[in-house]
Amino acid sequence: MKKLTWYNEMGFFNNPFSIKPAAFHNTILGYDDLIDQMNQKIGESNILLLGGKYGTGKTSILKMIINEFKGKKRVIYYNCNNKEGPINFDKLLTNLNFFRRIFRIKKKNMIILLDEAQDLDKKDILKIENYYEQGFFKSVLLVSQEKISALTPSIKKKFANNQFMVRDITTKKAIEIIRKRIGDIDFISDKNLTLIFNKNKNTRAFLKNCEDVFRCAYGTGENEVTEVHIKQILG
Amino acid sequence: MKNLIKLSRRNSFNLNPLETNFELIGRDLEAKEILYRILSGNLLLIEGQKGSGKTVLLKYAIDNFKGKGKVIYIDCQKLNKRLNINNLLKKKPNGMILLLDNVQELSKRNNLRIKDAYDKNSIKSVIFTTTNYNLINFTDSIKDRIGNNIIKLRKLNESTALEIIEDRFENNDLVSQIILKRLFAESKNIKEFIFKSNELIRYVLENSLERATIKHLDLLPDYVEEEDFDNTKLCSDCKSKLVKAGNYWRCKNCDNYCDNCGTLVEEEDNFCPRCGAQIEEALE
Repeated sequence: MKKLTWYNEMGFFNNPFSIKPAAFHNTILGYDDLIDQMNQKIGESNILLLGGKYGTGKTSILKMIINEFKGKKRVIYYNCNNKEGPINFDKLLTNLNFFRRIFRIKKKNMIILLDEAQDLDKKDILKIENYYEQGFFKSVLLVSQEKISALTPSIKKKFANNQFMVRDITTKKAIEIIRKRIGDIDFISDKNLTLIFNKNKNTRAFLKNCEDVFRCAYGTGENEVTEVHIKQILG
Repeated sequence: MKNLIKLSRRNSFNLNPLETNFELIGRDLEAKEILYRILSGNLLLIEGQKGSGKTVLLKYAIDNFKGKGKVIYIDCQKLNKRLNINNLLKKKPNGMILLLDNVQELSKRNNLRIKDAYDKNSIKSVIFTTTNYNLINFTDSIKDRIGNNIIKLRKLNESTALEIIEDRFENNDLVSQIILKRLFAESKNIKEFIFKSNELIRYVLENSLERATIKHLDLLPDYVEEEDFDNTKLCSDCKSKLVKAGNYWRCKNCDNYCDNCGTLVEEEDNFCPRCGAQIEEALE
């Protein structure tokens, strides 16, 4: 038995309000300038830092950067949540293909993206700096929502001009994101989307709120989201 | 006696929800929510006291999604503290459904790993259950992802409880409604109620009595809550006791770690690379 949900019945195959990073990739909106700037800096060989609050889209931006540079085996993505001791960067650099693994040849000129960089320790940072200077890493991107406690003064100097912040999106962009995901359907008006967005301006919270409101409105059998539904779900 | 064998075969006396196959009664709203959250790829937390029926709901989720090799059920109480949960998810396809029972026992590191796997879509959706939301080692980033997706299990009412017993024991009237109602009033939670009814019916059948009376109630054994598992705090390799260091559980014999924060260190390190504490040489 196939279990149908409201979005299946409305004609969507997947949950259009999925909160997974870049769930529908190549449609990240609101950060075009930021991503362009970052891509340029990464191309020019730099150490970069990207910060921002929960749910603003840091990992989504990372995915867009991977998209830009992928295909030539030049990008390494590593989530520092997974580490238990010092990160074995040699393994990351040699594990790319069979021959490199056998002869332990480290690849040069790699782009390394480190998510949740607040978990890095001093040893990792020194190693990153070292490898960056030796040319194994062409560019390094550190992503973190908190201050990274282990940073050394010399690495801070290196990314002094390359710090980026992800900020909350504007109302216009928020509506655009939803429209890109669900299309120009009459089920919800832009006015009501603004109403939902004003309850919580965080991108992830906004998507979740939209999902709950849509589910509620569809469940009642009406053919439009009204203010009553929004009030019922979000107070 | 015949009845006793028949009911045993039906698994009527079994209190472990994972081993029985009874219908879910009185939890329609929760069941609907669970199915939806799993299908739509969300995180969901079920909060309820011991014996309030959390595992029963997870069993319902298993029943609905089993057969495709996509569901993982883990009871964190029985999970070794030192274990890296990523090892369990290795070589599994994308889009797994993870059911984590008693998540308050799971370490912070493992919670972060789950968050990462969820973001990468190697886990599609996660259902957590817990006795108390405040006891969980969730970081703010996971709390943010869960948001309002929290079900607080309410206590089942009397008539639903009686329905459950009817379903388990095929409507035989060995025990009158009045006695069952009294048992229900005496029980702290639904699990205790089922346990007491079990024992009463077993007593009646074993002694070939016709019906249970009020007098039999005094003969019932006391309900004992499940004890916490102790072997989760033993090393999986050498079976010695684990020590809590920082956010990690470590083994003194097998791991080389910093006493202060628990990070793994290399042998030549004299100072922890994370917190800077001095590392004492292990005494032989």
